[in-house]
Amino acid sequence: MSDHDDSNADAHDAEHDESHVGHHGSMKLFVTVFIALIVLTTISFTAANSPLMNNPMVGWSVMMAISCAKAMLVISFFMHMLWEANWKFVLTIPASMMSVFLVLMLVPDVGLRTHRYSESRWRYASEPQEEHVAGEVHIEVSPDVDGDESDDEDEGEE
Amino acid sequence: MSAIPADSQRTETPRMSLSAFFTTYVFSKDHKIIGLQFLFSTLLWFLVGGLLALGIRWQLAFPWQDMPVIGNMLFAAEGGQISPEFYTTLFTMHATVMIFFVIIPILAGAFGNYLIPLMIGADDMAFPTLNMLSYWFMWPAFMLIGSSFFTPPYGAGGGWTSYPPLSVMTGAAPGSELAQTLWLLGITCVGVSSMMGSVNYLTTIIQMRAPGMTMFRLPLTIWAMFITALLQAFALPVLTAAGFMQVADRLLGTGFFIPEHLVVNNSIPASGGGQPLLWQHLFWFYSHPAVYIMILPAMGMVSDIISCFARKPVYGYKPMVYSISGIAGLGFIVWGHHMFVSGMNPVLGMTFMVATMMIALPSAVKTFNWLGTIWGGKVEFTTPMLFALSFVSMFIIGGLSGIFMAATPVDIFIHDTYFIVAHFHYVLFAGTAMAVFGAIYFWFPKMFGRMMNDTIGKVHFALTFIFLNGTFFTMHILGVVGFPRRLADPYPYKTFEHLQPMNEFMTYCAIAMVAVQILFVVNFIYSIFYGPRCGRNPWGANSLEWMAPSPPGHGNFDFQPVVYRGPYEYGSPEVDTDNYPQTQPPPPKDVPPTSEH
Amino acid sequence: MADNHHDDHDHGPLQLQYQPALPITIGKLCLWLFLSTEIMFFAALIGTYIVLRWGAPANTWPAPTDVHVEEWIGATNTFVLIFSSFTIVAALEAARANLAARAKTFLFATFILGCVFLGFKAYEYKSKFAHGIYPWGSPRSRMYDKADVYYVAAVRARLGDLRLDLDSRKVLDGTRIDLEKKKALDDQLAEVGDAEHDRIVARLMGKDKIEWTADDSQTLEAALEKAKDDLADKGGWSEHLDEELAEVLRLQGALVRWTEREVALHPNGEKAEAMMMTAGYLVYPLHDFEEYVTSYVEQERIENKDRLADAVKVVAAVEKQLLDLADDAPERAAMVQQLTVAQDEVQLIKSRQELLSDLPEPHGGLNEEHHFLKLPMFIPSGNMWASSYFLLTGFHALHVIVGLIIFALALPLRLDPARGGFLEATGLYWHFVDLVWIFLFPLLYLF
Repeated sequence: MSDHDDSNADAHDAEHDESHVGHHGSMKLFVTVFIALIVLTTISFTAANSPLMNNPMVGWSVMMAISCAKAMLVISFFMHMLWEANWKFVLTIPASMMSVFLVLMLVPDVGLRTHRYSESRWRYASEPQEEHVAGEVHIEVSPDVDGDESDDEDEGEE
Repeated sequence: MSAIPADSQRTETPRMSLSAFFTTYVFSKDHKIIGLQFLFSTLLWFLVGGLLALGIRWQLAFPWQDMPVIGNMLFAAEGGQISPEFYTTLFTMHATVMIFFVIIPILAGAFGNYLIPLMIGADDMAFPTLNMLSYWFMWPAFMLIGSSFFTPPYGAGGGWTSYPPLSVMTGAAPGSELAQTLWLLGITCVGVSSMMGSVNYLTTIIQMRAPGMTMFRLPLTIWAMFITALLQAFALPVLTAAGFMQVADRLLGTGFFIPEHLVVNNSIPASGGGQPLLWQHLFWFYSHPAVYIMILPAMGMVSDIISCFARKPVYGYKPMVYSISGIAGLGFIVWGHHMFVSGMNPVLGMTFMVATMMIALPSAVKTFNWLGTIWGGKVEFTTPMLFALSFVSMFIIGGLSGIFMAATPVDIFIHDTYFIVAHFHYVLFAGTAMAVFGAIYFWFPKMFGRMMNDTIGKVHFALTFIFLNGTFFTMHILGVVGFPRRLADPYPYKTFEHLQPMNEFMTYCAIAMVAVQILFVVNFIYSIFYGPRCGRNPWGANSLEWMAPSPPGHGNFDFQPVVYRGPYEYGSPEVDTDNYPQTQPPPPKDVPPTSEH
Repeated sequence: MADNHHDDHDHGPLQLQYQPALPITIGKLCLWLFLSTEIMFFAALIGTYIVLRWGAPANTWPAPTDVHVEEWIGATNTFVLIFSSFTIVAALEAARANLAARAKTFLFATFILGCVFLGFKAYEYKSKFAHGIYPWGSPRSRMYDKADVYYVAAVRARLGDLRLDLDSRKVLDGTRIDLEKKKALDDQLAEVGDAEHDRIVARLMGKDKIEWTADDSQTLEAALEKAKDDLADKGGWSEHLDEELAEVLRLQGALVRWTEREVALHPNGEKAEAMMMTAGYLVYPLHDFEEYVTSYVEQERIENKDRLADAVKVVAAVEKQLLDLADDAPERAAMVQQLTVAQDEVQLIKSRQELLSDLPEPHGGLNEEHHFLKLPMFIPSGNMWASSYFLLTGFHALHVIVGLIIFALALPLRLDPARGGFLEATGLYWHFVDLVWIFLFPLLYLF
């Protein structure tokens, strides 16, 4: 595809000179963005090894926020989106919304799948671990190991 | 308008060298040749898919009876009978071929390719090489699916939905060994092809419209193609990703779709912890929008045909555009209605049910607008018009049965019965395929410069219409009784025993329906060579493609098209003629064309 | 735009005019549309990872350290990709300013940085494979999601294989001269043919009495060298066969036998679960289980001390009874049996004690201590982790490779302002690859 872009771009440049309003940003700006990205990566790295991770949700949120910030920096400056016309929203926002929607719709069925595991299924699932870390010897293979043996299918489906 | 030179392209053919033949007709970058390549390939596959369907019908009407003539040839091992495994392969392949090799490529590939540049006033697609690749990427798919069908012992049998765990466990069924892997790779190739095509269409429609051709002067066909391309571009990558995951599950042994504690043949597969529902979500995230990919272009083409032969502007052009967009937008958030009985979280089921029912609104807008277009028109009952009208009426039946199934409580009863089979055959065959026939009759003069025979066309239409209803309407009745789909022989169940005569009736209708297509094939092939020659605009239509020569040469237009109005100005008071082509300059008092920005 | 579509076709005199909706080239528009589809593609992949990970049984997902994911590699790779993003944008700037040489330098730097990224990736994959972590599930990979009977059976099978292998190699080691002699003779047999058959068989049977010719010695030496090579291919010419065999025997005795015995005694019981988990911990210590296993082992130690004392007492008592018994007493056989069982019990407790004594400092597990062992490991949700890790990084790496190919094709070109559009498109793609990594880095390495 790329060779094609190339040849078309040439011809097009000649036709629509206004389409490349040449100089947005400067090397100085790009160096600044680059340094900002490095700093953000360092912060993210530090956060992962800091007391923030005592509550993983906090640590994860911080790291994802930093990632989003980095992504915005790359998109805005390196990909020149800051200087593009409004079509940038048309192309990027629907895709972003749809991807977020897809992931959200996966949550109830796949993200929460273990909520509906039956007892017999728990037997073969990876070990639930919070029972162990407390340092007690007693292990439960399922949240309700002493529960009724008979309801072994889809007990979570009310 | 500049003077129109004589159509001289056809005379070049005799002096063509072999390499020139290859670059012109085989590895051509011309959108028209690529469109025709798509058309011929898909029509051939249409025949294959139809014959596969007859195999299914035979088994359902006369279970375990020798197939006459070809039975002993095909199933020598089983003594001329269809085996249950082969039946599974049959319906899997029928669906795969019809969806991925016929309907999607004939709409987007054949008509999309042929019509988009012509109708927007461009000389070709934005990326001709990419366009050519998108056709040639279909060939690995043809070969992979074809070899999947012939892989011993049986071809892929996971259904066209390829649900895990059946499809990811090698050895779960006779057809789920190599055949299923080949099938998945074939679908991936179709995906790559569609992706290349859709990106190309979008770029072309956005950037290469003729001067004056604003977005709201586009024919509805182009609008539908545009929205379809958007659907493909955004939904297809998800299926591609899911397909790769399923291939990894099968070949590498990852466990995305394999749950824990799955016991197959008394052994527990090595990896697990995944979720089969993940596949269903990812698959339908593409395949529900794909349902609209299979109908929206047909709706667009039907709008053009109806407006042309009713000699009236399309009633409510902008509402038509908005409802296409609305159907597409809603189409992205309703995929869960295929999964009501899958054990999906009921909260999701409720959401998807409501969203699905909302699709009835834009669909109804479209239907009423078609009726409004015909209302009071000078209707010319040509063959394309008959097909278009049958599309509208059949779409109403198919659409209404869709609303039944959108409701979770009803769907739980009729899920996987012949009711759903009736529904999607009404939409896809009685709807889309009829529209495609109409479109072929309508644009044939443009494609080949000759007319098809209208009388044979009308006979073809009438017989197809009768037999398709005989075949598919009966399915509703079967479905309500609970007759299950995808079962080689339901008759051992006493409930279904008395339904066999009805199935026999359907099979006779189906055989007749396939036989009637001979009329079409004869008419089509004969007319390519011996049909009466036609001029540029045999139907007196308005849109740009009719201003180009028939068939158009390289570069499509022999004049610079400039567009002054929308494509549906029939019976305009501004001019004396019945039609008012988009390129015809307005009488002097009018203001010059406005640009969009 | 219109004139460069068909390079080899006459297009006629007409060049059509268009009314583009967007003020950008068709190439750039097409690339942005392609990137939108890529957003959906990676959304499906990353979304799958997210729901599989946070839907896995509570907290079982392996921590990065558990699966040899090293944060510094991820961080370095992030730096490398960000730097390459900067260099490609600098290349574009230089090309637009008509500084072709400078643009080429920057493009070359981007290419090198992409290669560095792939190098790190390859190193990472290699270290995963070295630890028996593959995208696929066991038995091909050595990961088990749960320390259950299947896991213990796999450990037993592996130790059995190892023992068999070591045994046969030991035998081979001792008798290889004989074997090779036989092989050489067989070869000769084949060469000489039937006529010489009897004589050679005689030579074979009475090998001590035969005088070797110079030819014979040469053949034998060559054959020996070849056999050594073959053995090296099969798994190495171990200099420490005896030690390895002893270690395997010790493990078989300790690790597997007591685990299996406990499993047999308490199927699905808590004791068996604890035993199996301890066994798993010995092979592959997971940080999260340390506290639990050590406390369990502490308890075991105390119990074992008492149990050993009891078992020794039983042995002594049985021995005493046996001594008192007449040689031909009918219950003698049963008594001998009883003694064996009691002695076994002593051995079992001793081997358990021995094994558990290693625990507080697990040295990275048995696999790390003895590289030849390659025992299956127990990593909860390890297979799902490996599936998604390799899928995500694999598809990202594929995109990097595609980018590198495009760079390699562009390097010979002269990067002047006319190539600006091409460089911009390539750059956009490369930034997208960078973007994906910006999200993969925390998701895979830091969470």
